[in-house]
Amino acid sequence: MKSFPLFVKSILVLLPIIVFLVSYNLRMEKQRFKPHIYTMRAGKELVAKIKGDPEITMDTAEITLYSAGRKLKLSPSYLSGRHLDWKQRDTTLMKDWIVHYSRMVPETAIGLADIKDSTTVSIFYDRRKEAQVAEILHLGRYEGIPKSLVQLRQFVERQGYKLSGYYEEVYLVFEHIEPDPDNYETLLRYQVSKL
Amino acid sequence: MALVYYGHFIESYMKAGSAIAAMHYKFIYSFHMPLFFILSGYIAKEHLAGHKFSLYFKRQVASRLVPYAFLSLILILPTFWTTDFTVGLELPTTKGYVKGIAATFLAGFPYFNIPTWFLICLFVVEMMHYAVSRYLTTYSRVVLIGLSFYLIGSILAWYAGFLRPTNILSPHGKIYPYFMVLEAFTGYSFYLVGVYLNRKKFLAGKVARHRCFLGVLVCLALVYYSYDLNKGMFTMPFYDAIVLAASSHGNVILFPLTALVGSVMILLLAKLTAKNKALLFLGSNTLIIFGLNAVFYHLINDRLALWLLSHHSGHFMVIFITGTVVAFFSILLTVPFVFLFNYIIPQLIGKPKKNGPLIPRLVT
Repeated sequence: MKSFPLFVKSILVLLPIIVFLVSYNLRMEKQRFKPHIYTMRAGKELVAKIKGDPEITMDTAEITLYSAGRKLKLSPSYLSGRHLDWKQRDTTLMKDWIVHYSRMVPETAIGLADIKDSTTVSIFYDRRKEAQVAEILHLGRYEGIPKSLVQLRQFVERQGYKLSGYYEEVYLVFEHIEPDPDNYETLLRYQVSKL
Repeated sequence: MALVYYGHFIESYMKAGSAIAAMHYKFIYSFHMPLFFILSGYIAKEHLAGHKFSLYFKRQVASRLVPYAFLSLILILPTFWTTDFTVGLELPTTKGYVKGIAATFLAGFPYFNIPTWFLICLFVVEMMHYAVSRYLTTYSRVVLIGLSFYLIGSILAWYAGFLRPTNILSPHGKIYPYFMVLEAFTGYSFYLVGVYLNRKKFLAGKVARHRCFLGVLVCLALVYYSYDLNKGMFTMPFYDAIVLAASSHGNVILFPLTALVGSVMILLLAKLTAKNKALLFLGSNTLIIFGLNAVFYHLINDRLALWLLSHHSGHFMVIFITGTVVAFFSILLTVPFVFLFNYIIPQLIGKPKKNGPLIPRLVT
């Protein structure tokens, strides 16, 4: 080995590393859109609870949580919309949906300053408990979400789990930061438990 | 060192839902990691230009990367019987181990021993110092270069998110050779503060005890009244605190100010307790005690904090006292291992020039 020049030795060491990293990252990129199950940690959230059609309530939630974040000096965070009971999507009329829109906050966030509930929005802090969730990344328009949910539910069943709590959408890339709806990225989550 | 142990236990209290613990956490994290960089700069060798790079590199690898690898490897063992280990790692599964080991050794992100991110970052900082040291010929240059690095570090911290090693944490996080380069810029700016203080012979020689004590009180008051002024923006929305490992600094002006005052406070405190044998022992074995903190950080603290919080009121003083007691006993529990490792494998715990019964010295 000593007779090899340094750069040959370096290539011999680096090449397998590079090959591994490239193949690993390509696999991860592919798996980004595949469903998976994991344990989501507990955490504190600022919640805006709103009743109505999400076409309308999501805008209200965005404005409410954004301005609350400014007032309470919160660092940027993703917006999510949660149905406490996953069945709500299937069994309730859209105009009657109650969605808990939320964003993560630190434990130091305790007061709401002068932020008050309105007739349509109630705002409060909540603690999300540690839970097992099944998750899929949905790429594209919101109209395509039901199709991704079918895929997610089939996966949950195949893995020997059942839906057992909330359903949640996390808006990673949405209308305010991306003009093209085909590029929206939304995480879809079901709380699950072992069968 | 005590602050690391206390801070990491308080973090578990915070994760269990204590707002008071979150404030303690914010207080400690406002200066404790910058202090480590300042101390490293304070004791750094001058005139590196005269050293051959290959020799310098070899020494730093032996004293930083070898302990990093060793401390990660010993922390892999418990993962075979405990699964609830760290965020984003499914253990014990092959997929989880591949991710954890690749992140540790190819990306410089110590999944199995999170606190040792500092060793990787310090290694990069020391490489930067080798390149820059020849230009540090005057005090004003030290200040200017330090400020430049801080500025670059701050800009990168916010705008170069793709360089953030915490990207690995997400379920499908990709692995790139991050090696804490992003944070090394900010780390080096603090390192240069240490270099500056050393050249100015700050706290060298005799200093009246009452002046030291007064200095500690003034610094404590300043940190107390300034640490919570830094309201972000932080890169992790659920941690209202400075977390260097995630390049989350918050306000670019308030962050270094509180960090510097807090660090001076600890330096003054160290001066006051310079003759304390227990503290000297801790000081001379910082690296291994620091690395062993992961045992508590990953395996014990979260469960213990959750249990304790369900048994007491969560009052400020109770959090403080239990945190201090847990930190004290955690450090105490590491002492036998410090002696053991120092005797058997000193080369693997940051003393590469020592000969041991199992391994010969790594560098001369």
